[in-house]
Amino acid sequence: MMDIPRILILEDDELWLARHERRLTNAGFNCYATQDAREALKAAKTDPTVKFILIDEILYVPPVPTQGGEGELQRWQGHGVIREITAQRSDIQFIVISAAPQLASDEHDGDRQVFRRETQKLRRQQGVIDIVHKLDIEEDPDGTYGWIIDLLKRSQVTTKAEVVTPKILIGLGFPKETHAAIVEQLEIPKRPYLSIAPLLAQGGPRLLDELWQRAEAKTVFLEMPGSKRLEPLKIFKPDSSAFQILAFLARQTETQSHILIREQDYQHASRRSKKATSVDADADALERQDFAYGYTADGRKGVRSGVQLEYPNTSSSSPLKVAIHRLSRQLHKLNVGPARQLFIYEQEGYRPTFELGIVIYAVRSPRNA
Amino acid sequence: MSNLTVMVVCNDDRNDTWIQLLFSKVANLYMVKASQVRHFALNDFKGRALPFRRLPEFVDAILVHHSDMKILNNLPIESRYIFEFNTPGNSHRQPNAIPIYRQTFPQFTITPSDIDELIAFLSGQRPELPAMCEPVYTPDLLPALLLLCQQHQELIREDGPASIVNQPKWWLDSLGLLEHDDLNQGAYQTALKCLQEEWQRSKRPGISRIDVDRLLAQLATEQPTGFAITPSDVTCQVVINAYKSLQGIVGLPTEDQNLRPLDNITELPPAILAIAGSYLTAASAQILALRFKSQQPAIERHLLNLQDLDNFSKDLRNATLILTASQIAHLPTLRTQDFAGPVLVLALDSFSDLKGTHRVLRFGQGSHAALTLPFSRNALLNIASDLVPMQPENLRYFQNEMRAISQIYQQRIVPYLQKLEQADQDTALLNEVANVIQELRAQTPFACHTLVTIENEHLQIQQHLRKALANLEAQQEPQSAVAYLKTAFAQWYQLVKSAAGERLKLAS
Repeated sequence: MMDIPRILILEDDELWLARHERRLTNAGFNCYATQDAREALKAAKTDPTVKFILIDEILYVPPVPTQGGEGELQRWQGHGVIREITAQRSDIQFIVISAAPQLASDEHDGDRQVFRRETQKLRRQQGVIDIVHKLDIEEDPDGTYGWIIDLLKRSQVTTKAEVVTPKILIGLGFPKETHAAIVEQLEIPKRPYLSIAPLLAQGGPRLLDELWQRAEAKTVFLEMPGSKRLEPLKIFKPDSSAFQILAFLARQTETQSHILIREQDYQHASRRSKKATSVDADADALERQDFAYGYTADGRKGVRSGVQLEYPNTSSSSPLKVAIHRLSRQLHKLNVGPARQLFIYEQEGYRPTFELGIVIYAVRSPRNA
Repeated sequence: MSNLTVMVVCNDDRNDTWIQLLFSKVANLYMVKASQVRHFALNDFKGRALPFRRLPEFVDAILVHHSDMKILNNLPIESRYIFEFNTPGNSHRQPNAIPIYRQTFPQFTITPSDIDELIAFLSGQRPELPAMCEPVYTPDLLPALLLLCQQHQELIREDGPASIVNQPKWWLDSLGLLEHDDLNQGAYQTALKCLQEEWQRSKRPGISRIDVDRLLAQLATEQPTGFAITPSDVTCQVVINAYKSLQGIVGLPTEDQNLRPLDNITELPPAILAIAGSYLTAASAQILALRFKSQQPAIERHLLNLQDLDNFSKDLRNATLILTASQIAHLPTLRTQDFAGPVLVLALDSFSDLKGTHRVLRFGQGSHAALTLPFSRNALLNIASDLVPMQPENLRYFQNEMRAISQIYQQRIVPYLQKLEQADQDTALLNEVANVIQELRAQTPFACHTLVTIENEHLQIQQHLRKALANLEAQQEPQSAVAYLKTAFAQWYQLVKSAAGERLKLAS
């Protein structure tokens, strides 16, 4: 009989710890709750039934000060605990509880660069499937805990299947009014990001070209594996080779074509090489042959001793291959997956192992100074 | 109530704390804080604002914060005494000021009885300075000798008469008195004076010093050209007798421990460090290095000079460091240079008291510890064996706080606050302030989690900042909203600066 997965909760604040434990226990989970990082590490490393860990970002030595003065940091913080555990138990998944204070209203969303950057740092740790903010719990406890519970339950059903299915989305940005009009047209609930699939079902592939041309902005998004929130990836500029590849594959996905990018699909602007070639065009080819090759006693032709042959353009990598390699490394850093497994070479092209798609979003209008 | 006039010069809320302590104990009290002057006459608790030109020309005493000395230097005021205080309470003696050796932030440790002593001194009723102006005396050489005597006896039992601890050079080296393998004459003479002074100041100066003098005589003898290392070994009986005297003078450890084996230690430090200037830490580091040598022959003790602290070798980043309480002020400098090693403090105060005074010791449980004098050799070895280097996250939190002082606070927060005070509260500026608050929280979460009271509300600093920003965005009572924001930032600043101590050079 399969062991019932256990949820380990690591939280230094007694009240929050009790709160998490109560909610998850009431939802039917088997929980082990502790304030101590050492205990959590020991439990995770020795108990094979621990499959999920709800972990606080900052860990103080309990009791966390409530009467003034300040506390002391535990030996390990959230990052460190995750690092120690994933080194031995790559099967454990983490939901990080962050105390990062979200400031004021969503109208300032565009300015929350630091907040977003810090959330990204947390999410990129290996094993982290999502981030939950304490403020979200305070403002909507039922909703936030409900989402956590759903996520944990989903993960339990598919014990062997990957919880994480990385998804890269190309976002086409339109003015708010256009976004609202699309929502109305499709008769769907208003959401910040709208899948383009229903639109294409109505308008066909030509509509995709039209929308592509008309979009005021284009952004690459990474879908968070747990919450499905979209995280903009600003390192992929619209004029970059990485964007070109991802956009091509996303378009193929949405038009239900065979998802593969070949050399001829990739427009490469050749770089001016900084290195001079070592081939001397004026050298006599026959002289080179005589210099490099000789004949053995039994008449066989071979390279003379001490001669090393160099071929022009020794880098036989195609431009697409180079670009794919670079893109794989970038996606690996974003925790999409191991670099070598993100693209498969087949049928003289590259097929992604992650999902792609296109969404439509509302572009923020410029603020008044 | 005395007929005295006292002035307090300090730009932050410590000024208010001084005023509360001094109020109704002196006839006239003046507060100089930021760009404000207030006069508190008898029974006038609220005080009255004054222009600078109405300050008196002469006062009995000025209490000035070290960092605000410039304000005082620009005031045309004479005083009988100037008392200088700083955050950690380790003011150096200035030519024209009397230092106050008490911490003032985050804990304000000056008490009403200290104030009574101050008033008595100013009134002429007490001839000596108040106790808060006396540096805390901590013996150093005597406990070092006691420790070395213990080590001697243990190793003679283990290794016999051939043990290294019988050699005078070992004793002198342990105390940091050798230079290029020869006796440092100046250092040795200083040690002799120190012995004299510590013996006088000890709790039982009546105990005879003869046995300790005999021990020292077996280490070095006076020649016409100076002191020379004694060629013959020290005598066990001399050490035993000296040990008994030292126990009487220094005291016995509160508990004795069995020495734990080193088997459970997964990773030994690459070296044991001590900062030059303390016999006790030098001797302790030597004893610890010798202990670890049995498992790791290459391990050595390194004595760091103060000038070495600014160019710390990366090879030693996980070494164990032994400090006295007064040397903790150097730790922030090392931490900003990626020193992640564990730290053991040898002090009169308990570890929890030290943590209360020195915030830098709170960044990572298990990486910092303290031993209270007097302690046994076994206690030293056991506690040092349990210490572990800091985890990278905790070191980063500390380094980010130090960096944030100049990069965020001085370069961005201060100019933003100035603009806000000039009623320039446009949306773009508020967005910038919001970003800075987020950055502060991201870079210095430990400081931002600290609970402080502002305007009778007891919240975390980050919660105060958030609330202040919300008040500003609501555009209600902008002046008080700005003042609230400014106080919250100032609290953060004082807190992180308290971890930096007063000696860390912060890059601008």
